[in-house]
Amino acid sequence: MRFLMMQKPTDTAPDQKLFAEMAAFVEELTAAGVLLATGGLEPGGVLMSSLGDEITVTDGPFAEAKEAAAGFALIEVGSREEAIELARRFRKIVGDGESTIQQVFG
Amino acid sequence: MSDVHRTIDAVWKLESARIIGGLARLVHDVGLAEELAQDALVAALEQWPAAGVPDNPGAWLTTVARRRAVDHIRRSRTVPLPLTEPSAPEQDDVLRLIFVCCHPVLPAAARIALTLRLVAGLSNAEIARAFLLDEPRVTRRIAAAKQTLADEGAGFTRPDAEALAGRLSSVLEVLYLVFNEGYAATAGDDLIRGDLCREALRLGRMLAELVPAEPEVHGLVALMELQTSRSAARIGPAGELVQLQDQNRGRWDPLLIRRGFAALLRARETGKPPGPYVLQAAIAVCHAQAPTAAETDWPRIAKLYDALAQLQPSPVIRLNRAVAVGMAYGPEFGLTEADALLADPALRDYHLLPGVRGDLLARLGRPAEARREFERALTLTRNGPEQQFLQRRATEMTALLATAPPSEPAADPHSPAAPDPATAPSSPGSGALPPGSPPAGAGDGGSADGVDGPAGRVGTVDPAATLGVVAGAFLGRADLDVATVRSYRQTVTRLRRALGDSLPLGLLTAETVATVFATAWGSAAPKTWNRHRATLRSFGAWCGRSDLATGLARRAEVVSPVAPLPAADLATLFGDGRQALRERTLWCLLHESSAAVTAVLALDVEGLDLDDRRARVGGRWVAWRSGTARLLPELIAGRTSGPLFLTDRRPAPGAPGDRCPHTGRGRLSYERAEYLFKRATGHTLRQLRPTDR
Repeated sequence: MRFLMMQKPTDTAPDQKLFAEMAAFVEELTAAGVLLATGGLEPGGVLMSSLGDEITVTDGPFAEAKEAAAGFALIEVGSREEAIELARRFRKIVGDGESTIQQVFG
Repeated sequence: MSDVHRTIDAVWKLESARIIGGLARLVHDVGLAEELAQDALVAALEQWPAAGVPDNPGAWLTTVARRRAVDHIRRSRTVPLPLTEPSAPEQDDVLRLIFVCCHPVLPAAARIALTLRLVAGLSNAEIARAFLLDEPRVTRRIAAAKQTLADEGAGFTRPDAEALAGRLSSVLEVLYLVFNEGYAATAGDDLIRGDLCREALRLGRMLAELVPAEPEVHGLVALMELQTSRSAARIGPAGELVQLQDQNRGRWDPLLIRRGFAALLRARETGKPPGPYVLQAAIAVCHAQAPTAAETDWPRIAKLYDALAQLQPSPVIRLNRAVAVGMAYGPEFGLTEADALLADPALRDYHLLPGVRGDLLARLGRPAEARREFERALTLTRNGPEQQFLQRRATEMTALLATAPPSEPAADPHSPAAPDPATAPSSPGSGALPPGSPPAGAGDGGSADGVDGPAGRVGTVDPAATLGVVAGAFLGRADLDVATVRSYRQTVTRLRRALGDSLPLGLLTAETVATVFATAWGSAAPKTWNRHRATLRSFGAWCGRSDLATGLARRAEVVSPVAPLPAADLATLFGDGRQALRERTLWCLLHESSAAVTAVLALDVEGLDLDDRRARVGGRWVAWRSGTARLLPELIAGRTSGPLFLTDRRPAPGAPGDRCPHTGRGRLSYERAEYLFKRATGHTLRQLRPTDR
């Protein structure tokens, strides 16, 4: 099963220690064969919306930036619980904040 | 399962390899390490539901398991207690664990089961489900594997540089077997069992980080990533198999393709020559790079298969090469290559050979032969969707035949009025063999070979009747006893499988029969060959085709009794200090007593009469002489009861009884004793019996 883990942005800037711990964590997950892809996301980005025939393109940043994702990890594990367990370890490293885990179908 | 239980299960799958690896380093025994880790798991199952899941569940399990290991070492004192905490990196533990699980002393099935259990953290039930086995069987297989590792003193060391390549190929083989079992499920209704593919990929990716300098590991990972990238497109909407050239390439997983390319690049970066997995991955890359099936670089694929066949001269690879050649240069060239494989015994039950030949014949516009090949392939696979696919191809050929004139030469035209063998009753009592004659040996005597006497004939069979129908009628005769039919069926079934049920009898030639016989029984014992030959002669006579057996020569049967070993060799063997005392005593006792191996292994210490040099077992006396008498006291070593010959290791808790009350060990098994003797001498235990018995 594949899961997409996404974390929301936080106010606190990451320090050296966090970077080091994250790098080690990413390495460990890669070595364990569960991490397929990961990356950080630019804040805001571009908003595309369509209504009828009309497609609107809006550049960020947006007011609801807090709800957007700041980074993602695509993992492949055997169960939802394994995904939760990995996310638990991730949250311990990054500190206060929120993540979502969604199963990827197909 | 409660949430906590599911969490525990998840933590176990993620952490068990490291925990067991770390413990094995302490106790030098993977079986014991796993038991200790399981103890920790049980503790978690007891404590976490009430106390809550600890902050760092992996560390919790590790600490508890390690504590048990130290307790165990203190109690048993078999292993020196490490004074300081060993500080080898944890990753090395996992690598060693993989190597031990894939140890060459284990049979392939045991390696697979043990790797899935100890490295991937699967339960016996999960392994059983994945391989469609029953759970007790998996449990026994794993227990036996642990026992073998302990008996062999496999230890827990990383193989040295010299042994690494060989050991690594054993590991890669295990991973690829697991993957293939998932990807091309050999049985059942699911074409792909994703859980197995995922485990194999996970273990492969893990291994690639542990031994990054080995190109074949990256090659295998690349191959698995690329094959998995196609899994969604490989199954049609109704669950049917979609062939590579018909797949919707838009459904191939680009992420996995990219990972496959990356892995192959890593293999290339090692600068070492490509091995079989790298070459197979390179072939998979050719497919992945082709935007449409028509743009596939088949000449390159054929070249890669050439290189692969150089490294691994396997018939399956040659079959794949035939496919590539057929695509690159035309079906007639492919068919020539495929036909050359018909005589290979390794492929005789392999459904892809008739499958490939059917496809090539269809492309050559020979639908009647193609249909036969598809139907033959159909009988050889147990996989539901593959059967449906082959059925579909066979039906297509039937439809083609209905619209086109028959391309096959008309079968023997001068007997159109012959009765249909399916309905024609054979005259009762006119059997090829006299009733009551032993089926297996009957054909071996000269007289029974004379089956083509007039009494055995049913007359000439319609040559247009198919092999399946005629063979069915032959076996369905009322005048044959059950045992004869059983014996006949073996021969006839082989013929039907090799040639296809729909082959008209008129097209069956002595030459074809000879090829089938050579492939199936060419290397069998003469007695076996002659038995099948006799059946074929009987069959030929019955259906009026006595010519069928003309290509089969009777083989001389040599009687080879079990040859006893020379006495001088035995004396050396019994005195050989390098062999274990138990082994020497057993061998010496078997030789001196001439008793059956089972009887000797059944001996109990309390039943031995050391003064009279004899023991009663199963109502018979086993008596020995001075050689055994010298060795026995040391072997008994103060024991007063229980099995005389014991295993090296304690059985798993809960294993059935019959154990030594002093050591808790079980009784030595026949299989194990035979194995040990074979390994030490290359002979079988029966050869220990003297000739003048």
